[in-house]
Amino acid sequence: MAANPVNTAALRRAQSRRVWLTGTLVVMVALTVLASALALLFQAAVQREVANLDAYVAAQTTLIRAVARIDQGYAVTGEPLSLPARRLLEARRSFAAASDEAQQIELLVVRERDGLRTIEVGTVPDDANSLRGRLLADALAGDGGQFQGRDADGQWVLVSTNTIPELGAAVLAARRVADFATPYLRAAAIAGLVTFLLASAAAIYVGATSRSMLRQLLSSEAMLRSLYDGSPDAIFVLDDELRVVDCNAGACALSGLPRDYLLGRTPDQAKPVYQPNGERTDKRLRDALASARSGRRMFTELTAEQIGGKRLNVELSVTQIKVDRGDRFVVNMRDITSRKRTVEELRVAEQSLAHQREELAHAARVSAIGEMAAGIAHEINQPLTAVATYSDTAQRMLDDDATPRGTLRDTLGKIGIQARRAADVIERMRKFTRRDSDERVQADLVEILREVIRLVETDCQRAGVALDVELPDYPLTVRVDRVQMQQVLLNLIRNAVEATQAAGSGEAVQVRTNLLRDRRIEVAVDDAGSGVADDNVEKLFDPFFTTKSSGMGMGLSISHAIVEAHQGQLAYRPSRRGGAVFYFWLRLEDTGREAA
Amino acid sequence: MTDERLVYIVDDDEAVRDSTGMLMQSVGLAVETYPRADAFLSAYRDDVIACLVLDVRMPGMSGTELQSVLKERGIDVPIIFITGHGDVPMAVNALQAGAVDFLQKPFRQQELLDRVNAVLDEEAALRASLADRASIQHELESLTPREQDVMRYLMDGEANKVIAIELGISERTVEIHRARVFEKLGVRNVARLVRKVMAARQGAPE
Repeated sequence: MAANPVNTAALRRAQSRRVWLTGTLVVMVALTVLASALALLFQAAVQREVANLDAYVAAQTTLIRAVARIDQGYAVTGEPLSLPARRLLEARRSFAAASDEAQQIELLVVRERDGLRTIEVGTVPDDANSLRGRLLADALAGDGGQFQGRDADGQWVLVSTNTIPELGAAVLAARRVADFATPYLRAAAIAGLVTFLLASAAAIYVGATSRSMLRQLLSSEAMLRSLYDGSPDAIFVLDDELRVVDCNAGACALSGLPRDYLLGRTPDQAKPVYQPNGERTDKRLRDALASARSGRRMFTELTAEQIGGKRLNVELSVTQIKVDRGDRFVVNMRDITSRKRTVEELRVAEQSLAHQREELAHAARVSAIGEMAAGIAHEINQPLTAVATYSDTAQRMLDDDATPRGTLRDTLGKIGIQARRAADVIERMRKFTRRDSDERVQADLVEILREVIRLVETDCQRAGVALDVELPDYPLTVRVDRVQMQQVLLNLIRNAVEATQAAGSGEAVQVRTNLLRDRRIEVAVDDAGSGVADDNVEKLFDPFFTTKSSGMGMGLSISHAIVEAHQGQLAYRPSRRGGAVFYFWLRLEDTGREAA
Repeated sequence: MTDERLVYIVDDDEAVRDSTGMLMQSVGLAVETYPRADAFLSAYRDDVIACLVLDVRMPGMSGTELQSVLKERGIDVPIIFITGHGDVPMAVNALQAGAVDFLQKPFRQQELLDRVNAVLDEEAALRASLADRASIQHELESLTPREQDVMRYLMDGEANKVIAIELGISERTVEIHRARVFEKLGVRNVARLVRKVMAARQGAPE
């Protein structure tokens, strides 16, 4: 919130002001329209009234002219009129009674010579200064027509006059506006009130609705804002020209720069200028922005430099958003320096582990050789003894002339055989100690087993433990590193022999192969030892775990690793004979025909 | 009882067995070879002057196990042990248990022949001496009373320690007396002692 606070109260006030302003405007416009309509209607009414007055005045003028024609001796001063003239006046009076009186229309006939005089009808103006007096005077002077104005009572009146020059008289008709305007005023008042009420109701409704929208907007804004500010990622919002318009606390932390500095800057000022691969940093950013512009969100990694020169690995992604004033780009940058370092460290650690494992495997092989030295010496001594003995015998035969040459030849031949046998022992040992890294070849597991069994036979004899081996008479083709596989088998069988010897049961160590489902072959070494204590079962394959006084605790651990490296599994189960069974399986190679 | 001389060779290694047999035959000795201890046990005859050339390490019954089986059955055949590399503790045990000799592979052939011949000669001499009751009697009479006491216990199969307690003397003294008894009677072990004394008491054996 601190970076870019929203003033909730101000927003509310602005919103409220807008609502009332709108309401008032609506009321005013409605009233104006209404007033205009009423004014037009009123004007039409006034014109109609004026027209009525004109018509009336014209009619009266005609009437008076007719009376004057009938009665030439007509005198205004109360002298009796002739009969036709009286009748006409009576007729006019009754007309006035029927139509004019209520409207207070006045009719005046004035004789010029005698000044202003009233003849019988209507209200006579008291003096010549009143509106009617003036208008009558004007009319008598020959200037008739329509007039509006206020009369002596202050009432608004419409007046129409006409001149009758031959009689020296004028006719004037007046009508008070108030008499016919009341319905219009009432209508205007009611319409105004109704408009006002409706507009108020609308304003209140709109205000309430927009307030709740505003509330929702504000809470959603607050939530997003807290996500934005609280995000550990650096978030920059760029405008169309790629200037920073906003950024969060994470952005300040990542760049090491204050928000005020960052605002308004463009990627051209990004540091470092060049990425490790030589590409310009701003070009990378622009590529990402271009990709965002085309609707794809591209994740890219780049090196960023903090103030102070510390370089960071950053994962960058850009999203385009539309706002009311054009496009915005939300640039999300995540510091992955430590993640990358961890990954790198893990990779190095894994490499060194693999290296160590190889070293250990070699060490274990060498150690196994050491332990087997006595046995191997024995195995070499056997043929050597035979060679020496045959050779001695042959010499004796040479001394004895009676010996047939054939016998001598046979004896010498046997010397050769035994010498080669000794060489074979050495070759086997050399193969075993050779430090090869993983060399997978197609090999016959049965053959490997036979080789290993020849190697351990001496050990078995020394230990007085018999080996009971049942191997199939067909090859079991597997893809293995021969030396490693020999090592596993050697280890398992030697362990079994030692365990059996220690238990002194006199039973044999059994070595078996079983075909399993999914073209797998299992090799099981079943000893007649005292088995594995329950507590130790889980630790069996841990490095440096051993129950032997002289053991390194590496054998099973390495064997396990080797078998796993061959996509197989090495495991333990108790033997039916009370000892232990160590067994592993490997996948058989597809040699184009079934093994079994 | 004949004067025939026979060498038994028991070794699981065919080449060693074959070559050693040929060596013996080349100097005119009769040879029987067996790859396993049990085969030898069932073939053994005691009516010849015999010597056993025995491999220590063998599958099934080992050489030292065969030695103890022979002792249990009262078969007194002199044993020359042949062994591979570095079985000194085993050699010591074998010699203490009465083996006459011990050779390490690869041995010198002449040495083996010399040992075999020496053992067979000794065996022949023993056989001859057993027949001479007067001479045995004479030898027995040359023993001091104390030596005779020790001899009786030895013939009962008592250990030195037991004899020392029974006679109220030190173990070391028992050892000295025992050595004198063996020396005066010309025997190498208790089994021979027993055979010789029995021969004198009951007349010629067999």
